[in-house]
Amino acid sequence: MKVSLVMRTACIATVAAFGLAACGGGSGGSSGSSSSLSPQGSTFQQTLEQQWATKYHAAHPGAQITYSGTGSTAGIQQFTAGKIPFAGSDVTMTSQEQTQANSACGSTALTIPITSGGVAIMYNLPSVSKPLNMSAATVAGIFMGKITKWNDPQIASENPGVTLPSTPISVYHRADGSGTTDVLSGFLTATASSVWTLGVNKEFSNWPTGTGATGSSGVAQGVKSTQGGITYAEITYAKQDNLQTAAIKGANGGYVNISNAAVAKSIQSGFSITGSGNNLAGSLSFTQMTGYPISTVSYVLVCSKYKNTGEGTLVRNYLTYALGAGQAEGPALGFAPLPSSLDSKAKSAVASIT
Amino acid sequence: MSTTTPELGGVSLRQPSLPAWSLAATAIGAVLLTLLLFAVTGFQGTADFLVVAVLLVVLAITAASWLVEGRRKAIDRIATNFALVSLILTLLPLGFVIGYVIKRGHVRFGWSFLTGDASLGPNAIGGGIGHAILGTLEQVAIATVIALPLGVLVAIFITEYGENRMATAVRFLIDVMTGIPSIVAGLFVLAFWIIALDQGFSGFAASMALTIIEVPIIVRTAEEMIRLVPMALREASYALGIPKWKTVLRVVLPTAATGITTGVMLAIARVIGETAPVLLVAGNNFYFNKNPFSGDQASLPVYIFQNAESPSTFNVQRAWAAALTLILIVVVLYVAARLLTRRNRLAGR
Amino acid sequence: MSTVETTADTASLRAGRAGRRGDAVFRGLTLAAGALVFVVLGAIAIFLVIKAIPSLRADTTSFWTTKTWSAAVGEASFGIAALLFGTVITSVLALVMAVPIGVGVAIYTTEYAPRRIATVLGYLTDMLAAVPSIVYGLWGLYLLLPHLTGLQVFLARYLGWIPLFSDPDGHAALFSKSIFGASIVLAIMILPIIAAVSREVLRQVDPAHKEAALALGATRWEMVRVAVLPPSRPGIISATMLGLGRALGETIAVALVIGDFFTINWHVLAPSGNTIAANIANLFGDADSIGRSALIASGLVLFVLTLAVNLAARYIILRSGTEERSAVG
Repeated sequence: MKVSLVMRTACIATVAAFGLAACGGGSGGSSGSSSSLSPQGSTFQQTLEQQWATKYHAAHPGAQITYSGTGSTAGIQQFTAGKIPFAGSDVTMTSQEQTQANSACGSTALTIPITSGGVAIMYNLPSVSKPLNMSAATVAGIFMGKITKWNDPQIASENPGVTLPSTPISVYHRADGSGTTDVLSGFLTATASSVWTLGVNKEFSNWPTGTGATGSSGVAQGVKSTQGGITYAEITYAKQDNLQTAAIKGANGGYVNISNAAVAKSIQSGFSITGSGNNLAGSLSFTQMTGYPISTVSYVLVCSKYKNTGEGTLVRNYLTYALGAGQAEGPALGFAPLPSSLDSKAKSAVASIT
Repeated sequence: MSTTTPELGGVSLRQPSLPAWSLAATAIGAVLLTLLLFAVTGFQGTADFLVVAVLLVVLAITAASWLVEGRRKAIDRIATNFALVSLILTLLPLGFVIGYVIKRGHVRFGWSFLTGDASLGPNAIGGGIGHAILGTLEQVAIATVIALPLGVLVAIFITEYGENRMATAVRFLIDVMTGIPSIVAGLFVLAFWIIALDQGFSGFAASMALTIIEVPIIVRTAEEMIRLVPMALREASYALGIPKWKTVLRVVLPTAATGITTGVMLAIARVIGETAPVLLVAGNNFYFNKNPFSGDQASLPVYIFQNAESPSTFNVQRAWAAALTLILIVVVLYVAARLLTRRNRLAGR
Repeated sequence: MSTVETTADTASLRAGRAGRRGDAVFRGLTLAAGALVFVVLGAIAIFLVIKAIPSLRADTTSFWTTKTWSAAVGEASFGIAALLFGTVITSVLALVMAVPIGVGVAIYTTEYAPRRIATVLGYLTDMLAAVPSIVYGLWGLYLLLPHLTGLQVFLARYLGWIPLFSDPDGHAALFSKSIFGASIVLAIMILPIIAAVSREVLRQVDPAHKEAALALGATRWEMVRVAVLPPSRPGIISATMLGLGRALGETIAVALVIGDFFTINWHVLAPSGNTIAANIANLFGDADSIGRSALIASGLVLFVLTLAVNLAARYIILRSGTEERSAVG
């Protein structure tokens, strides 16, 4: 009676649902249109992209842009499958991925730098008030488990006059795959490969020391809860949890604190474009960074010509904003605006999008 | 001890029992003893104190009971105490979790929060989760509308028509799928629906992934409940000449209804909080998307996940308020379901 | 005797041919449902096997004994040893904690509590299930783990003679991302499932049997032990299996509270442990094709594990169930 009525309605609803799905708006292909975009990708640029989306929407109420930080690799995969209008990525595409992207776009896929930032080495030592100086070898030693106490002679020698406590060092590293790990390991491999032997990767399962945590906020939380804890993450997390950051030895030999100006200086000196034409993919040389040496560039991957012209226009307008007035939103969130020469090249690449 | 103790041949019929004040007395004694212990030894901390005190009370009362009342009653007391302790151990974490969520979630909670969307951005103090609530409700509703009848029918297939190899194979597969990590369900939908069939991200895709997770839970619970319906009821029905299908629909299912409802509630509670598969195939959206069949759609668990890890304090506060909202939604669903099925409950049970 | 209101109208007594047609239709419907589930779940299983094979071929070391996880194209060397260990031990510990408490609460709700309180208790227990996984993970990370160090140190000091709880490196005092912590969070998560399903099962016990036991002079516990628990055993085992399934497959909550250690460490109080599901959640976003394939391969192992445990449970139910049910039915 009651039950069979329920079941009857449920059966009808089920059939209806499937029917609707079959015919109704299952928009195959890219989740973009002339008024809404749903890009995905790097978590590194996530907060900035979300800020841009908000500001752009405020100025253009019809445009709805939602950026999801699902990871650079996921972003690239969705982009090369043609499922998202553009992707955020900390790494450039491989040649195979470039070919796939080209065919998904129906035109050449472009890699355009959109912002830059540094990876801060943050720690929890309330008794030490000034930022500690660390060379790449020291950072490597700490994260490889070779330096185990804060008053280790190597740290002391780089910080004369500072009283260091004998607290043990508790390392926190990322459990999930992350562009931040990629940048740090890249830096350590380039500058301290005798100590750092794990190579360059987004994720390691064989960390010699330390505890893993998920996400930048996870490692920051770990450090916040542990006296003597240390980790690496974007600078905003240090600010949020009131953690101190270390000054890292740059290519000039001096210890550099992380700041937007220092990061911009590093991009200016350490980033070089390897792509041609409007494809601005590049590579980082950590040994040449004269500013803050653990810096990186983050890109967007776009099509040069979109199948849906409305979508193409929206992407172009949005990215023009991002590279223009949008760059000023960066510093408050811990990102450094692109150096002006790179920025103007990026702007002209974006202007070519249709 | 009353003065009119029943007797038979000089032997008291009433069993000796501990006086009513014994529990209170033992409790006080145990607390005092624990205080003494803590003063003397190196124990410290309120949690340790409580644990030791409770242990002492239980031990003391059990010993006293054993001595005065005899073995059987003492064991009965132990069992009662154990059941009570289980109750406390269940309610304690509940209190801690719900309390913590309320503590962190009430800050941003409010009507505009429940009806707004995320268009104001991560760093604004305003903004809401209306779009996420809508998304989650739509996705879970579609998933349950598919999973419930499907699950119950499969359970009936396994139990009432179950003497064949197909039923065994289905049972086998359902057992395996109760342990499916939710992200795998999402992967499957991503590979088949979104990539192979070239559909876009949508709330409906998330519903499919959620259905895959819900069905084994519903089948397992329904199967168990249907099995518990006494054979006598079925046989009485057949004896009255009622065909099998009517017996199942009007006798077996109503008897099992409360149990099946519990299963459905557990399934809904499980999937309504699933992050990974929904993020994979429904994406995310800062704005309202009323159409679950087209376009990225926001959802509460994805909202919570993305915002709880955000460097913006407001986002974190909103995430906890969203968590509070999610729990409230499930509680409302529970209460509604229980009220609905109460009408089907059988007298005397 | 239970009073059942069957709504069999006499009209259906004359169902005859219509009844038989209804039977055929209904049977067809259930068969179709079974077939649909079979096809879909079977497709998932096949899909996963196909996706897992490329990584297994590319794996340069033994899948079963390698502990670390490095799944980059060209130098894949990954293994399930540490993950499988972590999965099994967290789930077992969670079950050990949750089953007695869950069944205990169910017994209390059905046998000991007055009727009104029982209803409220049912709601409260179910509320534990209403909390989504992500919230448990966050709660575990922010509230439980910082406060757990005290308990861990206590256990290590006073129960350290049990190998499981010993703490040779003195790490239990550190921020506790340990197997023990993860197991507690899992136990709390599966507790409501076990309690709710057990409660429903216990409620279905024939009151006549209970009254008979009491009439013979049994204490309440003896009545429970003799008349309530035996017929409920298969149901309670099913409840446990559902809880175990949740524990094995729990992704996000475990990922947030466990420490991502690719080692086999029996000291559950020390920072230790990682599970298959948590690993999939952590690595999936940034994994390349071989990486994803490897994660799916680990997911398949999880299925085999779930299947094995469920088969064992069904076997136990079969052995005991038939005797009990024929007595009760």
